[in-house]
Amino acid sequence: MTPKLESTITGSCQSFESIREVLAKANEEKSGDELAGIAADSAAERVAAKDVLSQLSLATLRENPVIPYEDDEVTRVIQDVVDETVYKEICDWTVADLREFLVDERTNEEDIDRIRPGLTSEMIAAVTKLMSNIDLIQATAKMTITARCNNTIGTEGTLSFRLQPNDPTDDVDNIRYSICEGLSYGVGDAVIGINPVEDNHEQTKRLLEVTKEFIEEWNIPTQNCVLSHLTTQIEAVRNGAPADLLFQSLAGTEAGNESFGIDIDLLDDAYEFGKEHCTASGPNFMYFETGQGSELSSDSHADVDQVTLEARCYGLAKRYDPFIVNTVVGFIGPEYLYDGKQVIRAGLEDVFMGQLTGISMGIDACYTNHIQADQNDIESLAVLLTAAGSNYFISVPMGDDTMLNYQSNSYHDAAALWDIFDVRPAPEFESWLEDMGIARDGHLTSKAGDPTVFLGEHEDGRKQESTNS
Amino acid sequence: MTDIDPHTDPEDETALDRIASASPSRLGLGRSGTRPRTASVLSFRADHAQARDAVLTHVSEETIENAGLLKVTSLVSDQDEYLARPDRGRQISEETAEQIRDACTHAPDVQIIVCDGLSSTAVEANIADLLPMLTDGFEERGFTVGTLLFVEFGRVDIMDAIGEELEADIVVNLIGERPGLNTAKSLSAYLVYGPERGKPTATKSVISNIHPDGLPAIEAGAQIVDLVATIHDQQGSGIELT
Amino acid sequence: MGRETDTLTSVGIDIGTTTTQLVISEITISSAGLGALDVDIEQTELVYRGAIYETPLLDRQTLNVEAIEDLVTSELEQSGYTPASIDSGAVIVTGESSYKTNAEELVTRIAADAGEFVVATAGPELESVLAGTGSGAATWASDKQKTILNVDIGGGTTNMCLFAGDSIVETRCLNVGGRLLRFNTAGRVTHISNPAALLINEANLDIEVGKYPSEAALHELVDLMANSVFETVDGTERSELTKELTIRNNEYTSRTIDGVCFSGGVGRLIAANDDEDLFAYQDIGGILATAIRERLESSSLIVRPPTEMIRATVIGAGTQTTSFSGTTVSFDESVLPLKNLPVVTASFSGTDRESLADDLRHCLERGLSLYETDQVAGLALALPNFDTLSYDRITALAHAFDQAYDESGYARRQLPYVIVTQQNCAKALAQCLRAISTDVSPLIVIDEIAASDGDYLDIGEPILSGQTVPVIVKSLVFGRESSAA
Repeated sequence: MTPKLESTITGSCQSFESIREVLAKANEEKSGDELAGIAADSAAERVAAKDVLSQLSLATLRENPVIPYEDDEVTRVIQDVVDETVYKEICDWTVADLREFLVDERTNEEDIDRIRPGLTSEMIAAVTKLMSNIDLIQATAKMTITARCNNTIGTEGTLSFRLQPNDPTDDVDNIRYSICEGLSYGVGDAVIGINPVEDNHEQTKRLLEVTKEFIEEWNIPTQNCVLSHLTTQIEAVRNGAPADLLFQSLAGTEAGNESFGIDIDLLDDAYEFGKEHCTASGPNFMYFETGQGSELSSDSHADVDQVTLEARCYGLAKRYDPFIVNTVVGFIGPEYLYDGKQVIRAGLEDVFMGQLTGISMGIDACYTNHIQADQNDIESLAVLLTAAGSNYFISVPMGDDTMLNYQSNSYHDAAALWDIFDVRPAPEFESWLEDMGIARDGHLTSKAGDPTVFLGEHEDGRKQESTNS
Repeated sequence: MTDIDPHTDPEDETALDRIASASPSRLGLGRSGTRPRTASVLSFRADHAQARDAVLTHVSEETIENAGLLKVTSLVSDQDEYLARPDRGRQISEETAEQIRDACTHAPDVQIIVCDGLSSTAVEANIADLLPMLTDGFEERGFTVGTLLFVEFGRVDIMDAIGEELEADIVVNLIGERPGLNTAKSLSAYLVYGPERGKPTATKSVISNIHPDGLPAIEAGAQIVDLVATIHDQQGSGIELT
Repeated sequence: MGRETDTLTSVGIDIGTTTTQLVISEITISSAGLGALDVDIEQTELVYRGAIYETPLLDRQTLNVEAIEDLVTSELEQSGYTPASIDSGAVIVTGESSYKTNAEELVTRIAADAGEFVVATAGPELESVLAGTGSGAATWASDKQKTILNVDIGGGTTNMCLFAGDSIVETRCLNVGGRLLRFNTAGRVTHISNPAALLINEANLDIEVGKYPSEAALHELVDLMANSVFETVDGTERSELTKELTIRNNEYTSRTIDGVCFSGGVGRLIAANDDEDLFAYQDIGGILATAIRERLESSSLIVRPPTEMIRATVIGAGTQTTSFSGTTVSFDESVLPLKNLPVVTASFSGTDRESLADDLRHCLERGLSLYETDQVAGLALALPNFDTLSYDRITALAHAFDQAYDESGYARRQLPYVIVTQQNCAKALAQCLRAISTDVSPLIVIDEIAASDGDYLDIGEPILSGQTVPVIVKSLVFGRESSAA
């Protein structure tokens, strides 16, 4: 039965109607929860909700999913996959117990791996609401989640980057130049992934071919992806397009996914299709994007807060054993994440929740021009999340994506972060960078930063040099 | 200091220049150690500063007056609320509704409204050329044009509330787009037939990217006039058009 | 708003010194729909490669027009396309064929036979550009952002085009080709073209019509030719002899090139590297190819393989000659298509209405005096760029046009008003003109097209749901001099 949802921690008695309400009001301040009308009305109410939440048992959270089992297929996916044996061991823990387990220095990676199968997305979201920023960073740093496609992402001591060579007119030449530029800075091991201007299968096929040809010409141990709708990519692949990864945006509710034009059946079919037809060699070939606030923006949030919904996206993503999952924080607008502070908090929450769910998690640390944030905020977030052990970041030339009209991390940030934290690119990719003479021992060489090194032909590159001089 | 300056020592200097000039992205700018060069950082910051200013500053009274616009406001009272509460930027108060019902032409063929949206700079940069192209064009085609309105803190869908109050056939909403780093001057025109509150976004037609380096304001004006004529003939807009 | 696409069928016909060929391409163009700024060429697909025919001649100076017409007709039948289904393209007469007395008559007739919008054109510069486009050299330069020289060696001429990144730097043309000297099956010389005669004289070689030349003399002749080719490729120091062989002698820019690409009939022989029967074609093409190949082996030039060799020029002709107006065109559909509109270019001395009207009137008067207006379908008036496109400027311009069309006497001739701008302002200008003008002449304003004095324009029927019209700017005309003639 549902326990009494009351707290007197701030002096007066605050009470709550439902677990869903407690979860929403226990959130750190987010403009999206306010816009949805479900946020705490005061700082006092917020901490009272955290207090109530801290004392709930994991069993209570399991038994009270934010959307009922029979109403929502995302809930069913999350509930059905729980390992009952593991769950029984931890179901009496309070959320506070879970927090203290995660931050305890005696708790190591194996301990977390052991309890993971007993967790639901609601439990993961709940503990996040009790954790401070350092709590989140420290707990994330304990977890290593690797995945394998044409290379291996997420191994200890590595930090990867998506090379995002978008162009406002899908101009193939400009896309290729941006790829050359990014590779010359050592980024691109997570994926070379393009957001196309237009969502049609012809264009998707063309861009998949361009990226694949480039990858093959230079023998790059990475994977390509064009981020059109999943059905568009499948159509392109059916027509012969070479795709290493299949991409889709996910939501944390069935209705939210419906607004993206997908459901579990479609995702299941796509996964089977990808097993058969993706050009990648590894077992992990799905790429998902998520972001706090997307369900509210499509009016499918069911009065659930955006952190809990985000955790549910990861629960869904896990079903498909993805190569990478990317949380796009800061793109959606100030009505969901108001400023740099909220963006940084959301980034830390999401990467933590993703890793605790057991998926290869990375982030697009970004901002639009109408949000109260700037490049310093996302550079800070990148530093914090490198400390936490994010698998990868998105990177664009000089931080400026001229197609999506927003700013993210710069190609330059990769080498700076490797330097500061003494981490390296994915191992296969690092060897390739060394072969190309772009990086040596984890540092850029004098050749780095010059896109024209990729303009010669691979085989006779040396011959050309000698005749040009 | 860095041991390499790719901007002066690339493998192929002419190709680097061509790449830098061909692409709208910030390519071929080189580095200082792991970081961008100082000039590249400052030029990035300058573009961001212009974009921020476009969001945060207001359309001047002078611009509104020179264009002969009647100023009204949405339910939003300041910039912070505008950014955090898009729902309030789509609505008008009962007082505003009464004000426009009293002051404006009733049931025009076309009602034009100008909204600051997310860029006051876009409004400042375009409407002096765009509005007369519209009024001339509508006159030539024999459409009646309502009282020109400026809506402070307006979102796209405020056109529904205003159009419904004034019983306009068609509303044209000229609104500042979210600025990018390439330009803060970009304006969009949304058009709707038979405006009423809650009319879905998909039933609105849009012409975007109106700015001096995109679709020039005068050309956009002529294009909007054509589109209004089509909307008028087909009695529908957005997805209702064939 | 979905992307709209449309497909145009384009023909390329090349009547060369040695061979005549026809290819058909499908050009897919698209625009992003309402509000789109540009029309993009999505794809060009070669859908029909015709056979390669020997160019039929009546005699050494005269092309066999009827035989060539028959050949084009039967090729079209073979391809499954009809002249009515051809939207665009070009007929070009290249190499020595362009010196023939009836070359102009031929292309005009073939163009009329092959479809409503096929343009007749010629000229060694255009030929050079088309060959480099068709051979894949232009694409390579653009993809790699490098510099490449395409060297198209045909029967009568060698046409070079230097591409750097996305731009064309220059063309270089020589009267050197594989068919400048011909033999009968027995090996007796049957024909010596002027450029070959020049070389034979210069080097005092014992080669005469009707006689059996020595192999040594032939080798000396092709060595001279190869020498001129390599001097022209290098571009910096050219002998007097090479300059004499040069068509439209210009100074060449000196720049490092990242590769050369050989196309054309002789280009194919260079790549074939097959010396089995050097005289299989009863000309000097085989030994010229060998001479060039040998020199290449000892040079530092890097040879890039072309995607097309013998068909390079004709493919270029079939795909590169049509441009598209901006998406905000304004036109009176009833008068389209329009063919062969002479272009007159306006230049403005001021910005006020009166001075604009004066300048436009002068321009129209000049056009009317140059071209017989009962012979042409109208004049296309090309405007220079304005620094800013403001409402005041565009209304002043519209008034000036109204006045100038009237005062120049153009309005009385009941010809369509055709205005061409490079800037994106066609609809705006048309709206302003319609609003003030009482005249009822059909009005066509097209934008984002560059054309200048001396050009002719063809404007096709609207495509992409009326968003754009195909425009062919014909800049090259007959009547050029030949340095070898």
